[in-house]
Amino acid sequence: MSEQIDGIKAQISAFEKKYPNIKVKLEHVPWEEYWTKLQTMIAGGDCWDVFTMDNGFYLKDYVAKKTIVDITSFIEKDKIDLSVYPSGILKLHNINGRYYSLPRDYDTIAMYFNKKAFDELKLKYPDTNWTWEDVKKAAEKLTKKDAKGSVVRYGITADGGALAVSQGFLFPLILSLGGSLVDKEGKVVLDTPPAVEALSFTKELTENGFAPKPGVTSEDLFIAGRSAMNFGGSWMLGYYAQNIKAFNFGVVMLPKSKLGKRATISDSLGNVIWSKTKNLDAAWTFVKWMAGKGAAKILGKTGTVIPAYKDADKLWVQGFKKFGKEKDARVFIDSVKFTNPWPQTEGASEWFDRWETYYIVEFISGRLPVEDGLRQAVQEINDIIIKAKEE
Amino acid sequence: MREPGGIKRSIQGLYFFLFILLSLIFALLAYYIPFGISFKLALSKYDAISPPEFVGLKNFKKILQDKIFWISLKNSFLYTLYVVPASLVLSFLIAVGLNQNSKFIRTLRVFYFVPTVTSSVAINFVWLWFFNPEYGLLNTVLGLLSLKKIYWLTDPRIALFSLALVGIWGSLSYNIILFLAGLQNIPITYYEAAELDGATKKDILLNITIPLMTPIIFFILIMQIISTVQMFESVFIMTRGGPGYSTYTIVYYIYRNGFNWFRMGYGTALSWILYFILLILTIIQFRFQRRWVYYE
Amino acid sequence: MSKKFISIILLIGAILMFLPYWFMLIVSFETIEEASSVPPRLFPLNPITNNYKEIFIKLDFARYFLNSLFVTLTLVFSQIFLCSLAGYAFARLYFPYKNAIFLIFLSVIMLPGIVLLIPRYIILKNLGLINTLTGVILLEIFSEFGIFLYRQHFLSLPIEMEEAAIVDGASIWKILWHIVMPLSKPITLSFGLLVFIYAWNLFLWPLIVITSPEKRTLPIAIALLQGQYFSNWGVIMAGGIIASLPPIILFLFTQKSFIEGIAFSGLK
Repeated sequence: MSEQIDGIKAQISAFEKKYPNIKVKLEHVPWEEYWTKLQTMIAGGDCWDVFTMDNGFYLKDYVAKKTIVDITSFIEKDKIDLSVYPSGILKLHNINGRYYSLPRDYDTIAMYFNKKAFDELKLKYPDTNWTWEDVKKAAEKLTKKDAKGSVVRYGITADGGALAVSQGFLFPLILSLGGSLVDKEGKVVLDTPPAVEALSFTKELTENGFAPKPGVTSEDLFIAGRSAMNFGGSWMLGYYAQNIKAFNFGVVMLPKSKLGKRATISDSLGNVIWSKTKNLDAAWTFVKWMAGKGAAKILGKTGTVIPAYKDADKLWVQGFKKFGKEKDARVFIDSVKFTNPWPQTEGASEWFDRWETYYIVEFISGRLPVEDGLRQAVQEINDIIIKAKEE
Repeated sequence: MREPGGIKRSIQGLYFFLFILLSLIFALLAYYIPFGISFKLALSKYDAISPPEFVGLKNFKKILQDKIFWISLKNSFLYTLYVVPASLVLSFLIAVGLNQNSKFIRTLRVFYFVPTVTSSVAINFVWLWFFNPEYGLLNTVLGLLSLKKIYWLTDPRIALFSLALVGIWGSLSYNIILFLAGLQNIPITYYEAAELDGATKKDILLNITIPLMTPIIFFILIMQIISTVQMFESVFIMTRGGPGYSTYTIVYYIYRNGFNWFRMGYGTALSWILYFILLILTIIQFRFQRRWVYYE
Repeated sequence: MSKKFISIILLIGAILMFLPYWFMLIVSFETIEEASSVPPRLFPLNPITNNYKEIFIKLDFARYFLNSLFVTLTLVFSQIFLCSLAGYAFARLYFPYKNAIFLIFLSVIMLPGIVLLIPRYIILKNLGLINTLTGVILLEIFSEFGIFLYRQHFLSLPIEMEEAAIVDGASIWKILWHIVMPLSKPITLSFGLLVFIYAWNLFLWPLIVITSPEKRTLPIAIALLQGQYFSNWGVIMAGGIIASLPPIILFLFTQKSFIEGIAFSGLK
């Protein structure tokens, strides 16, 4: 959150001005160590009154362990209008019908593309009519090799890895093919035909050399002009806008599937209240404010993350005027109509790593056959979830 | 290990106690009392949020059947096997080489010292960069030599080895500093006398330098094994245990259990198993030292 | 092996050792674009000093530096004092089951520190020392590494000098501080240097204990430069370079005394 820290400090000063009897002390911890510190403190009987939660990954676990206050009654009492938040995003703050946080921000996935590469091959830029087949055809044409046969530019990549990245590529693909990620009971259902198709598609692109093998960081490749189409999140727009000078890039919504369906996926952060806080009312006032219009406007102006509050997201878009990238920023906002929440389960931290660093790698390398392997993966993942639920 | 002759044992005993007293107090505070708490946690089911629930030896029974535990243990010891012998031999030889008085050598020493002072965040990033299959330094060099790309951190067969390279690199300067100090405590008169007797450089190395350095070598061996088995940071920053479980080290597994998966009791039990393994290993090494460590 | 050959090998080794640090240095002067260039550059095309400026402006740098210095110097001197005392006791003085006690001391490092985070936090909390630099220091004073090191070192010293002093009527305290320690300059300097580096780079424990920004130490401040999704590596490397300077400077100073150590003889 370091790039957002100034925005957060501004939000806090504005809050303290409005509520002069409430003083807020801000503590800023690097992301990796955040959870270690949180757990150590809770174990020691301490905690922050209000803290930021990664709703996609950890909310279910922390709710199950009763560390967070159920704020549904507060929402009802203060008659908070929840329609100001995109519905797909709101789902991430609700577990089993109860709310535990209000949306602070959200992200979506879209496709960045290198205009220079398209111009080079006189190809039309991707538009909202594109399907995954169009992407595949373009990936083949846009992959460029040098005289020795090593790839100079990959046709297709995804931020966060090579191509087979769950958040940036696989999950949206599966969703657009009509598949789900979790079922109503919170079990993972990644062994359905859409998932098989998605993984086979990804594997094919990699085997043909249009995408790199796992182990690279696509963000770097895209910045260096070595990737023609790069699937990535809204959080990278600022970084790319500021640092890509050698070529022009654009952003387009994720393509449709042959079913005509378009899907993207989002995570959202919210502020939660510690169940043992001694300042419940003050904490709620603060959480309410931080999810409200005023705070969202301040956050939106920083151009770092997309605030969840209606219309404040436009401020985020406006922040990109100075780079000439408002149209591209709009794509991320428009995509939220098609978004799906990140699959929330217990034990997400445990199974997700296994999925991303083992199973996906094995599928793409061909060491594990996709269909049988997916069944095995789902079995293992659901065992982990069940174990996490019991503990 | 003689006592100094001429002082009553009771006085020695008194001084012994006084000299270790402060250390003992701080050790109690920082280690032994936490040990006690931690051992209680090892016998509990504990998610670090609700109070611990006593379960006796259940955690330990689970560990024996935990496939990932055995993999992590194996990885940690394999890693140690890659790193410690290479590091010891290399750093010793380099220290001998650097134990000269010329200005050139003294300047070189600074370069060997540098890895110790680099912050791990920064240095692991640089190594991640070196290992990058597309444009990292290592693969670029391989490319220049017309060799195939190596997937340093994503090929399950070599990921652990790649981490070992970083481990060796990082441990060299530490050991070199200690070896240098040890070398410089060897009186120059020993060397002069040996040369007068017609000894070759090799003779001197084998029969004077190395034997006199054995106390320090012993020290480094023990300390390095203990810390290398517990290697955690490189995994945490570079591979997160992947690909698959090939770089899951035991302490990384403990960390994930305790801080990501809400299994602090289990993680603590894992730590205690490691503790006993290292303790036994160290005791064995102490028994063996009579055979090769030379004390004046 | 000719001296020249050895020198060349050492030179190559020095370059290899230094390479990662060199890249840190390079990146610290680069813009983000250059830092992610492919293939990585050996020299920046357009070096900038912005990264360094940002560190001094954005971070409350002087304060973090002083905090780190306070913690580090306190630890260096207390550890030298305590470890030489205990090391001498284990090396020379009689005590029943001395070696077993020593092993018990040594065994503290055999338990991975991360499982001690929670117990230690609880202890500090009960002592009211959360969010204090004192709390950070108190839990780091004990060093079995130092005790072991000094023990080994003292054991390698010929005992005759000390026995001669006893004959002359010196007390054990006097022997340690006026005879043995002066003979131990190289090891004390090395140990002090290593403690300095260790204390200077302390990260996880201070991160957990300290909650007020003004009490932060340097490594924490630098780690906070990392963003959640991406980081300006140039700034982080600049931070790393700055943080590495005090230990390097210290090393250059102690280098001179390493040489004095060689002159030590005069025993037989």
